[in-house]
Amino acid sequence: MNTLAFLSRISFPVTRQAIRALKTELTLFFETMGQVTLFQAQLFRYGLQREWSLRHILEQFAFVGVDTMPIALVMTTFTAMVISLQVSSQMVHMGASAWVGALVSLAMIRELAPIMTAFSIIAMAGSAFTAELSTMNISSQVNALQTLHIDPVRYLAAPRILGGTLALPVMTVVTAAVSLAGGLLIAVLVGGVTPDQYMTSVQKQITIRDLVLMLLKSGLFGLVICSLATVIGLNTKGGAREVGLATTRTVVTAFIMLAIMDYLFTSVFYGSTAST
Amino acid sequence: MSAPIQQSHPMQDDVMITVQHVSKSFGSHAVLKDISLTVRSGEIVGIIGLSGCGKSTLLRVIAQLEEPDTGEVQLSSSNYSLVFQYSALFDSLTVFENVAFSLMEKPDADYLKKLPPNERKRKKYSRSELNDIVKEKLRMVGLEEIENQYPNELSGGMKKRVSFARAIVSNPQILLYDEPTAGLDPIASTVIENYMIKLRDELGVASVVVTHQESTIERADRLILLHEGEIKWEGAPHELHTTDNPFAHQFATASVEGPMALEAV
Repeated sequence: MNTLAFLSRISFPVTRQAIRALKTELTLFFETMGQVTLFQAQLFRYGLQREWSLRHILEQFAFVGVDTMPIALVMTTFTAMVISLQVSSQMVHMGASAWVGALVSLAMIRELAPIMTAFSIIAMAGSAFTAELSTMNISSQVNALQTLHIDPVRYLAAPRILGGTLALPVMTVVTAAVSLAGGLLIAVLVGGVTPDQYMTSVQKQITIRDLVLMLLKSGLFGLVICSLATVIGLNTKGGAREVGLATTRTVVTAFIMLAIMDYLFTSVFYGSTAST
Repeated sequence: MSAPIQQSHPMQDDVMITVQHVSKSFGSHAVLKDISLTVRSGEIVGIIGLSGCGKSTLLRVIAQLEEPDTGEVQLSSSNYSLVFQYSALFDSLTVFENVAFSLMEKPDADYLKKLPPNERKRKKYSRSELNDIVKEKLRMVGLEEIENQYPNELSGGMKKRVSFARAIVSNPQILLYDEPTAGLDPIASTVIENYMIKLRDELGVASVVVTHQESTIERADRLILLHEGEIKWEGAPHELHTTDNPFAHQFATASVEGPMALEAV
């Protein structure tokens, strides 16, 4: 009884603190989502007014693509190789070696290439965007832009968001292709699958619809990651500590958003055809 | 309730800046309380007071970086610049790109729409024209051959002077300075102060200067002493040392005793 009383006495404040922390996090999360929505509206308006600078968009496209590509390639290729390693031995053992390519390509093209490339972008470009913009904000560089009648959303956020949104699908095409090659290598070397068997099963499994949805999903992920990173960066106030916290917030929020969006995307587009 | 800041309003004769009954709070802390002032063409107004009295906030309200809770700010020209306390140079750009920024980049379409039709078209500068302008502005603040350096390669004083060059590159009619000479050596301070006077005398630029520096205070045409967000005294620099106003007297004598208690800051 005493133990129970003791536990209830200590658990109550801990629970209360946890609920308070959760409330703060949820408020912040929905606040950020609201800001992201407002940002999209502003971007759309600038798009209509043709106020985007192609040079700045291409600069950000190159920054996101070039800086993130190596890590994205390593992550996706090794993941495809692991999947290939796991399924090759099983499938060959069951006499279903013709399915190895299908399984690897299904996993990579429908799910893992877009999401792992997006994770790489969060880690590299998303965190860099937030750190850069929040530092500009706390050192009055954003204010300096405003005194020159240049909206930071147009000049700083729009090129990053558009550059990132365009870069992610392009990167995903490359990472998906390279990861399928990695899967092929392992299937051939370890599983004893012939290259012809592997490629035939990939071609049978993957449709144009899968490729289009992969590009669409990657673009959507890019839009969300870069919007979050820039919104959080441009709304950071304080000092060095807040820059660090803002960067962490971008990474955590983007990871959560991507996981939720990925599920919703799959439910909408593959929900009724999951078995095919 | 917030009142919008207005621009390009027809104002009385040569009045360039009008601040009317402006108040501003951050949370429950009232930073500016019913401030009213005007600045005329060719006038340098110095804003003085203890740290935290609302000087920089007033400057930010005039520069349209903060919206007042109540009251109104009118600027007779949209061509104004602010010299920031900590330079605020763009880290990722070279000194050349920083100084030439306002000449190279297009302002927002919404802003251009508000300008008179003859001012909407922006001149496109060639690289050599930009080069000449930037070199000239940098020479004016005593800096040469640093166009290709980045801000992180400069000393604090050099950054401040580059920031000043950036502010004057578009020949603004209104210049706002937040501690323009703080942290500068006496010679660099004199360069900035002399140029401030030159802009006033030759081009009729209206200036508002937030400062603690004695030499800058002396060069102002009029001083406004702020304390706890209110104007406590207004007068010419030479009157600061002779006035009976207890706030001005305490500020001039740097006395700990007086109505401006440090606890209040």
